[in-house]
Amino acid sequence: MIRTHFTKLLLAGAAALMATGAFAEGIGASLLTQQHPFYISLASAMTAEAKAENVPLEIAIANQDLNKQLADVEDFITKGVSVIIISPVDSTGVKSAITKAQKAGIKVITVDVPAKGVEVTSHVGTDNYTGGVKAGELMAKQIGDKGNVAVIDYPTVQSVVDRVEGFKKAIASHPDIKIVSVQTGITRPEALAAAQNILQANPDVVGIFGFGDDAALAAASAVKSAKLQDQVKVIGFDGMEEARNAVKNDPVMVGVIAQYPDQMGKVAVETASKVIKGETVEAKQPIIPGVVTKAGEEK
Amino acid sequence: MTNSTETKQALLASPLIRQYGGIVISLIILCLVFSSISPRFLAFNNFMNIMQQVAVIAVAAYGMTYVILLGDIDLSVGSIIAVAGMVAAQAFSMGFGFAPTVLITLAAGAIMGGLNGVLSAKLMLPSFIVTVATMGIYRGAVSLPTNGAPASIENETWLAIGSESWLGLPIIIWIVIALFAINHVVLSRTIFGRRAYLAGGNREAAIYSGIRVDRLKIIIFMISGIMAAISGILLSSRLSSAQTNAGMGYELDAIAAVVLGGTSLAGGVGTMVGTILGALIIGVINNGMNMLAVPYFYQLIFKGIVILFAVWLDVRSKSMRA
Repeated sequence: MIRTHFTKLLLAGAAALMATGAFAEGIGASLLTQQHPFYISLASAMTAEAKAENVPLEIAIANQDLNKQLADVEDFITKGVSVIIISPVDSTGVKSAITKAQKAGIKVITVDVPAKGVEVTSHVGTDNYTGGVKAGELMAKQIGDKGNVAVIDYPTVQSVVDRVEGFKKAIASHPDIKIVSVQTGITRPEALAAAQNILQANPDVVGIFGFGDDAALAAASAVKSAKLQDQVKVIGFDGMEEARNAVKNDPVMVGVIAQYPDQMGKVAVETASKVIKGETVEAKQPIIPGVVTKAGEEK
Repeated sequence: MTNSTETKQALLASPLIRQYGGIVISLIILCLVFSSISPRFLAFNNFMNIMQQVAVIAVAAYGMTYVILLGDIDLSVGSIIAVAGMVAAQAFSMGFGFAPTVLITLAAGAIMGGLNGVLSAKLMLPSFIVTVATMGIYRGAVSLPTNGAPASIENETWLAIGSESWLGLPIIIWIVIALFAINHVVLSRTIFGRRAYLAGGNREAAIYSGIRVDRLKIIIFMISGIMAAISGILLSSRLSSAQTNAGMGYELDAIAAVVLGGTSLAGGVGTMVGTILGALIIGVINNGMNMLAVPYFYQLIFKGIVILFAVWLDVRSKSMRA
């Protein structure tokens, strides 16, 4: 009895697995995580574009583990996919996975986070510098072109460094605005502490730029608990749902620079299928972020 | 029915099947299922692939085998793996060469494992609690030198471990095989190994027969720490970087490999052969599901089910023999 049940179970399992399909050609994508709205949106845009172009696409999720990402890429190599799209777990650590793929003659496209120390066929990612400039211009407009502002940053991540540089560049063209404090606040609780310190040390601050949604939302909470909501304006970067809602409902959150993971996913798959067809592609494909304010979205 | 009885008899005839019945059958079933769907699964290249991917788990599982054999558990190995990589990265950045860095890394593993053993043996604390605590302590310590950022490793000899081959086999696989041989001999052919079985099977009896169980426990946790440090070496050489979140959750894969291999969580029963077979099952599941393009969340579910199934099959085949 038990034995026949086994056989049935096994056959059912095998059939279920077969239904998901396996192929040898097409695109293999290794994504950082599937537990963040940004990456969910990226993955679904990739799937939709692959369907539209009729290219087979497989997505593996590294779950923020570089070792899993390397194993996923190795499995793509063994399968013999034509192109690999990677959103790196870590910009320097991803080098070994990329080199391995390239040694096997497979072209690599990075999306979102660029790889360091190794050349790839193309990189599709947010133009963080331009986003930072837009944040700076928005800040200037919101605070009436004068006053002291502060920044919450994450100095070990290149994309954030670019954002902050763009922000500083934009502020530099407004002589009556001064950046009085730049503090590190990586996670939401750390950003909250950083924002409280900023407000404590500089009670005359009129604006805070948070490097990401979390940093900005934390800064907005700090502003409210310091009862400075009539004085301080906060601007964020990323544009996920929570921050967009805050821009709508929270008077302190005056705007957020929005990244477009859906565009990123679409362009990445478009690029991959061009590479398969043997067409040449741009080495850098910046996606320009938009500006979300209470007045609406400006792409 | 006659047919299956004959197969059963044929299977039971082989000594490997007799001892590792359930696990070997599971391994064969998995390979058959995967290769019937994906022709590339059975390729020699893919086998090398699986071995390299499972190396980090297998080596940590060697150390875990002693610990579980003693009736204890070591939940800190994932964190030790990360610390080992970071210690190596820091040693290289201070200008140490390859050999001294290996020694420093192994010493770090021995110290962290030894601390687990001392806390558990001398303070009479359950190893589960001790290693839950040190898991957090070691994980926190990883981030101290770089403030959470990864550190890259550029020493060429170190990186060769993860990327070069010798006599047609990747070096990392040679290391897995060599460590298997050493640990297998230690466990099955030495007095130390006999003592571990005895102390794990019946602690009181072991004490009365003159075994210094406390000292044995400390040494065994040190071995687990050293094996985890070697895992950390393999991992950081494969990735050419020390990640602060490296090895997170790997202790559970290592425990699963050991238990899949027939080692009893109650202590006293188990072998290294079983452990490497258990590690291979985990490697085959992970790789096979990737080959079949099973979506990630389903992979987690399927892996859990396969582990349950394999352990059940093993328990069942053992009770059938008894």
